[in-house]
Amino acid sequence: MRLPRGGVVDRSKILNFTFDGKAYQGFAGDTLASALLANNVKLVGRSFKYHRPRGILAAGSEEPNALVELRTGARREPNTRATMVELYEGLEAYSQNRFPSLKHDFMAVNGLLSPVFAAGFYYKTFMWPAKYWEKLYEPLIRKAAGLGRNAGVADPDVYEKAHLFCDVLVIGAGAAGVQAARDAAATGARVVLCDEHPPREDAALEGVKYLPRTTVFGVYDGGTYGAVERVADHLAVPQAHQPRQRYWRIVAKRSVLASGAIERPMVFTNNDLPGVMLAGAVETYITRYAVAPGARAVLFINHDGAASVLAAMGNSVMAIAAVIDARAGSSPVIRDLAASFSVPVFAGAVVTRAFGKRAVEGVEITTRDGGVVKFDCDVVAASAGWNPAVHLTSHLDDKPVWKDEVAAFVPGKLPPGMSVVGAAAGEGINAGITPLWAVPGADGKAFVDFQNDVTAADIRLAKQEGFIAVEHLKRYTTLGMATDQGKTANVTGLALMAAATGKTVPETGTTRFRPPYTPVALGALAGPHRGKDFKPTRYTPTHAWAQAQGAVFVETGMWLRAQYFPKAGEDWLAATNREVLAVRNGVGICDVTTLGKIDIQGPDAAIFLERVYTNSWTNLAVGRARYGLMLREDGFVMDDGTTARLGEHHYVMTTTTANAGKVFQHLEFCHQWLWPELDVRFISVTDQWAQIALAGPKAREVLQKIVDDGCDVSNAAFPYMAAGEMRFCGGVKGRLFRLSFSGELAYEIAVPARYGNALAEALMAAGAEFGIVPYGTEALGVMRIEKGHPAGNELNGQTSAHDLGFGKLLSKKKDFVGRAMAARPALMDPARPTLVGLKPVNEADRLRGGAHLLAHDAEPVAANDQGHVCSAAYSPTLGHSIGLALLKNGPARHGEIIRVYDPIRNGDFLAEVVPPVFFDPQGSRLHA
Amino acid sequence: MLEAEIFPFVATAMVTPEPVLPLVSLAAFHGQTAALQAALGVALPLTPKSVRVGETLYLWSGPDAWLVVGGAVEALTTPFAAMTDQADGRSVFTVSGPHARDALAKLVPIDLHEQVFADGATALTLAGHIGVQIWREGEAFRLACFRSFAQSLYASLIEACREFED
Amino acid sequence: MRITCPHCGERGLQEFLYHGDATVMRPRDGGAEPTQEWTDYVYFRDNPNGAHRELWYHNAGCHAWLVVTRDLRSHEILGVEAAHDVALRRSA
Repeated sequence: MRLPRGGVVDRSKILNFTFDGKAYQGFAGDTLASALLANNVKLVGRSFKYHRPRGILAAGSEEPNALVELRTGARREPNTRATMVELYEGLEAYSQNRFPSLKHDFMAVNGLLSPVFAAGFYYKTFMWPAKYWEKLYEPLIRKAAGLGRNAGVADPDVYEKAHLFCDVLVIGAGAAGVQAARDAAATGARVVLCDEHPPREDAALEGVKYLPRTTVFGVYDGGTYGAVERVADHLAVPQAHQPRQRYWRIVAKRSVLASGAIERPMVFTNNDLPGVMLAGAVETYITRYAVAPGARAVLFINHDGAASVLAAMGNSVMAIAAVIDARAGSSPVIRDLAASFSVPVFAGAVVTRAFGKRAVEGVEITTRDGGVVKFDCDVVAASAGWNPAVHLTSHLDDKPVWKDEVAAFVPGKLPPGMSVVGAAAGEGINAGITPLWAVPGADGKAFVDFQNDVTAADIRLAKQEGFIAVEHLKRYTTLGMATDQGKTANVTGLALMAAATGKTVPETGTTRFRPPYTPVALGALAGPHRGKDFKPTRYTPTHAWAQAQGAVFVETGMWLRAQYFPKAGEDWLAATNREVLAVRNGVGICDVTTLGKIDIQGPDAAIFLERVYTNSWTNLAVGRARYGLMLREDGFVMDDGTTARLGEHHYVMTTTTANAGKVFQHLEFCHQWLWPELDVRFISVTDQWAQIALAGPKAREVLQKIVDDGCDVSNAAFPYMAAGEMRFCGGVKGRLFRLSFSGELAYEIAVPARYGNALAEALMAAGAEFGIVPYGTEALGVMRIEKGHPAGNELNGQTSAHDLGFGKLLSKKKDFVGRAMAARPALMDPARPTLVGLKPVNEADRLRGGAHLLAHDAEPVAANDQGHVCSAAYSPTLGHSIGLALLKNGPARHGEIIRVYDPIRNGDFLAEVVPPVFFDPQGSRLHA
Repeated sequence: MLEAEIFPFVATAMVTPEPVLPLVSLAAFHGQTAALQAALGVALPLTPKSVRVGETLYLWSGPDAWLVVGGAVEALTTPFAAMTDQADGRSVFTVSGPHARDALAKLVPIDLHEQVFADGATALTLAGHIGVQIWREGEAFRLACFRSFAQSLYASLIEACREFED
Repeated sequence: MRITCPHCGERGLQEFLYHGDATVMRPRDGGAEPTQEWTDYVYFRDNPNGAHRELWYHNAGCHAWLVVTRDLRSHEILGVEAAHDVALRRSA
């Protein structure tokens, strides 16, 4: 019930909300939990395994029971702790894990079967008969298990990521944290203060960046911290341009952990009934929210810290039936305070059980002399002491240490730069404590871990079955494995295992805490990097032109490349076939900007190329280009490309699109680490130059129309593999390379990227009389397969030079990267899968990449696998499907009929092994 | 002559797409940094800083490497360094205004506070997932990325500045 | 993890790419034969329980290769040098 006075809620702002469809009111400043308690709503959920009625246990982020489903529609979110939900107008919340209703939950029958569902249940049941697993057990378990349900539709909110640098990061804005922040700011340091609760006036300090609603969830190496700011969780809908949450990556030279302490519940029979709460939480509800969780309370404690709870209750309208102090003589602090409120103190007594139907109605105690007394009450405020919130101190694998005087773990070795203050350091807590981990006789209904329904009896069972190591205890009983990560359970569970095995707590150890401290939404970690913004998109310099031509684009790494240019009524195949035929019979243009271009200059440039490529470079003349093959040091092919010599000490290397970055990294590795004495520099010019391939029998005729007067591009002046500077379209300085991937007479024209679109248009205009077409990566791919050029599918990191028919390119005269290991006999074994072409015997059959190759009469088992199809396409030039494949002993088997086996796609037919060059094997078109 | 493409980026209060500027990358050959400096008549920065000479800005861009913004070296040839035109290889954006640093904090993983990134400072780093060279000119920041990333970088900058622009 | 690039200053892990062991040296015999020395260089690595020297590449920064001395258990970075400088000293 709401108290008439006090609290920091704003009574002038009334907020309407619903819980399970019923309407209630609260005040601004309430949490959902405090507002429910103010309305005398005690039952808020059903427990995970046994579906027992549960109420609110705590007041902070350690809450294990009050997990609600918040909001509806696309923003619906499960498993939200009611104690951390700031109330807002129109809030809708629903209880979880119950059917058909919270009050009458059919699954409560699980409680009757609790002996079956004891610890280890998962490992002992649903095993036999095994054949029922998929059809019966799994669907059953899925229906019965789990907490909460996903919204199932796309999240409409946006999230942000941001970086923050500071000298001092203070974690926690309680009294100790605020003092630490104030002191640090006074030295002129850059201070950040994070606190998981809503904004508090006393934390808004001069010279301090204060981040309320922000949980520091993880400590990482190098002084890095992860934090999540709940920017708009307290609003029905985020404001315009507001993210829902923000993930902060904080780099701090030092940090101060002022995270306070988390209270331990008392363990007794039915200690999970709604109305049994942590004593400190009762105090918080009274003092901060002006809410009494009930009318008549019993206080069950074992230390002097609970005095403040007694005072808060005593000064409110709550009646206090008794103080049950487990300590033999209680203490003067408690006795005097209780006397001042005329409340009896039972020293050396324990609550043995609570009773009530769906909320606590009374308790039974055992006195020091063994007598039994009953009390009526609707609140049990229980505290077995406080555990310093040391989690963050152990994220880097350091362990907390046990301190007997406070019967709690305190920070041990700390992460570099971190200091701990206040209750988190074990200061000012558990005065005069006598540990009581569970009330003697606590049975199968005395809960240790509320969220995962783990009882004191489960811990005894684990010990009985030999799971006594703390890591086994955790995994066997699931203690500490729920979304609350055992914040109110771990130490108690550990201490009970210690007692059961006759060891001390420090001997028994502690499980490791790992980030995140509280659950973090995946959206926050993703920030803006979702959907199409998951990675950046790179556009070619002819993108606008291609779009205007109706291109369909394909993602190639981060690039968008024109894949094909469909005319009205064409699908991808029709467009591609038309483009291929148009190029081979006339002329076409294709953007090839995306292939990596690396500018290489320096006195030792040629020597450097000799060492990174397998073939020879010192004899390449200025004005010429050459194909180059690059190996990894283990002898496998890494990449290929063409490198042109533009000047005495000036080269431009091309790479495949996919490997541009990797090759650049490799060149820098060789230059900086392997041969630092070579004088050579590199820079990427992929983006500097728009590069367009002009290919087909009419290519020269088109080219002649766009090169400036005085530029000679005749076959004599500019033969196959020539390269050099050129001027185009009235003064544009560019470069011309006579290279061909298509096997046609072809050139690559490079102009500064700003002219990419305009060059494409100029080429189309110049080529109009020849029927010029734009062609995309599909047609490009068909033509290179027709010519047997290995590309990405063949350069898959598992092929050697010999596999690809490039054995002759391995120089015998010089050192190059990969030389030694490429000479391993196993890499030169002709029995290896080696490059061949494939032609279906029945021209209607379709080759597909990935299909396996077998001898025509072999049984289709793995032992008979002789290779696979790497690249396949329909060839309009030849009128049937063709493929490039790796086949054991390939080149020796031309003419053989083999079996192409593709069971997943229902392919099983015969094909002829042929040389990989299907079209113009003499290369006569290249030299036209 | 061919028509040059101008990206249709709209300038906002905080984000200004810069027009194509003369840009040249310089990478000194072994032991030739001093000779290069003498040839240019410029004390090229040897740490991540920039040096302004008239209309031209010389930005440190790696060990013995610089990015020269402005026309002074366009026509130059030198035996002491590899020179490469980058006018078309980069796109440049300016982020300005009192919240420039807060907006960039969403993208750039280095400390841009004036105490550690003062006027004349520069860095090679990331903006989101895009490699950039960032430098400070007074209260404003300039970012240069590979030209093919321009649309993505522009969109990221606009998104980062959105909350401050209303 | 944060690595202090000698050129750029302290940077986060996302700016770097890990390569591997910096203590193995490419044989200087010209590579005509796949000897045991070459096999060791390409494939065999120690896995010390403590400090280790390894090569990292400042991919999203200045493109310098770095030799980083790092404790493999604690991730503590004990030292960073420009690989180019280390390589020059080695060949001197």
